[in-house]
Amino acid sequence: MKNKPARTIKVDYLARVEGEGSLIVKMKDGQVNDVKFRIFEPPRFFEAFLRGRKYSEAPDITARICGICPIAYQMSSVHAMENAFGVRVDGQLRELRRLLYCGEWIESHALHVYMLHAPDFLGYEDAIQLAKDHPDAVQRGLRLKKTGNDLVTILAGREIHPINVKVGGFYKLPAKKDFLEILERLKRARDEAYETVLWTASLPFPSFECDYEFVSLSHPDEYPFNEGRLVSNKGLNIDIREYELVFHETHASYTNALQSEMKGKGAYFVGPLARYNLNFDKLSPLARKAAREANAEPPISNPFKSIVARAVETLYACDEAIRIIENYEQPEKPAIEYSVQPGFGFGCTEAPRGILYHRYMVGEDGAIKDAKIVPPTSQNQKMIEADLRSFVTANIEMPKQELTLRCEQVVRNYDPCISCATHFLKLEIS
Amino acid sequence: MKGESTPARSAPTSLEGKKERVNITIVGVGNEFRGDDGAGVLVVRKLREKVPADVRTAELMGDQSDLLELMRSTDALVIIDAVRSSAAAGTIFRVDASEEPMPENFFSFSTHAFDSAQVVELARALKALPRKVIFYGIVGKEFSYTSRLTPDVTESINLIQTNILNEINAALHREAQLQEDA
Repeated sequence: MKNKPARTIKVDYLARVEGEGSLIVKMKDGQVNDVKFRIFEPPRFFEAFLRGRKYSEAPDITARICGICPIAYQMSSVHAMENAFGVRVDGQLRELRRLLYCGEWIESHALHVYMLHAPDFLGYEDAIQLAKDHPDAVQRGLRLKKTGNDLVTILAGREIHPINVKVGGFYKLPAKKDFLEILERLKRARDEAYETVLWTASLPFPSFECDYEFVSLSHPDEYPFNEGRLVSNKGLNIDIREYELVFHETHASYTNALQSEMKGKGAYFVGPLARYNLNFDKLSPLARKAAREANAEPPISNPFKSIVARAVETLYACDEAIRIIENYEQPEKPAIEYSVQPGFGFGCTEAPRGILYHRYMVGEDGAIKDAKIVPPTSQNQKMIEADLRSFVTANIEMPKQELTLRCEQVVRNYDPCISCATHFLKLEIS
Repeated sequence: MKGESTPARSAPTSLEGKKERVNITIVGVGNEFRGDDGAGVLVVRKLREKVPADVRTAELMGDQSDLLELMRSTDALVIIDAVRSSAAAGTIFRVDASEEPMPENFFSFSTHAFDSAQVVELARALKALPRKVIFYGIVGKEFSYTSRLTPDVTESINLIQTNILNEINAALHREAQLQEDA
């Protein structure tokens, strides 16, 4: 393998990802020398300007971090504050929070599956070209996404930058009748999500498997949205309060987003495929049935098949939303009462792209003294680079154009939200 | 300027052929907290009080696939968005998207996962374009985290309003004449 000319795969602007990023892979003598997944979206310093703001502002401020997954930010922040104050939200209010998460998963997953990821598998440059040959599939994706958007709007006031979530519950509760129309649409969406599972499982997948450490929340009674312990397929099982004992962030000079790793271990994998592998038995019977019919039961260690996990989760989210709405009884009060307590609060919920960790320190006056937010894309960054290295090493003879497209697909397997990942750079001025 | 349409200051239009009153929507796209990216949204805010009462206005900031939803319920759509270009800041491009494809170099320069130009082409592929779609692109220069606009963009925001109002009024006038003739 010596004396082979040096080759470089370089994608200056990654398409079909949320935000601005690039990748570079350098090869020489048949070996991969360097891999960089670079995020150059500028940092936004959310953690810094949360300091001094009132605890109750955290849900609405952090929702602004992302236009695709604002619910996740709201949920992690309210859970963290409730954790600090010793408050537990249960019953229908808790169910409504799950319902809200269903909406976000449906809209985010449908967007990624159909518009951003599917073109890779079918050899199209983008969703526009895909739509010319597969209009029915794209329309199905758009209908699913719209259903998710509308569910979020009913509960959260609006689909982007929602405003109805507060510590202790909600500002305003929907009436049972508010769900009548969306319930029927969710039933149609559930059928289309089932079809989506079968469709994604029929896509051609590159042969590629790795020995990953998958990390997700795990709850004894439910597929995880809002709470649970942090577990992995390699023995991790911790309370979310212990997150920073196990995981830490590092800063590489070539990227604006911090990179997370497990202390002493390195890269780990969060997101739909991790949840799916670790919580398959908690999916609804219908979602498990679809997975079986699609011959896609876990464990799955081919990251290209994350699109199938995303599709099964979309089906689960439709199914779970229908269950919650059918059992919904409007509570008397939109939120429970609590008193502000100084101290630390921890929140970790499952954003569409994986675990989203928040930790706050709240003072006697209810002001935020310190905040830490670790989004899923920061956590997957090192895994993305490891996948690029492994994939290129295994396919080093592949023609450059094809290899470049496959490398982009490797990145898109993780549905990275680059905008989310860049709020956390610490500037060191000397 | 390869691939881009000719900068336009005049306002030709054609919404003819519909017997009932046309349903017109004006949508501004962008993020007002990212400098010139907010130009489209600011145009719509200024136009809101000036357009006929039954002309719908909308602002879109996040995922532009919501544009598809607007397209389903309108006969004619005017989109105003910021674009990057080698042309000078503040240059206004007008594309009649019902007659010609969106210039490819309007793509992928947005801060959004799906930009408005891509959504127009997606709608065309799905045969879901309204009968008339006019795209106004204002060339921006500053897209960082600021609410300040480049002075030339501010000037264009004021100028473009007249173009759009003329365009809409001419369309409604033509439509009224058509109904009279009928």
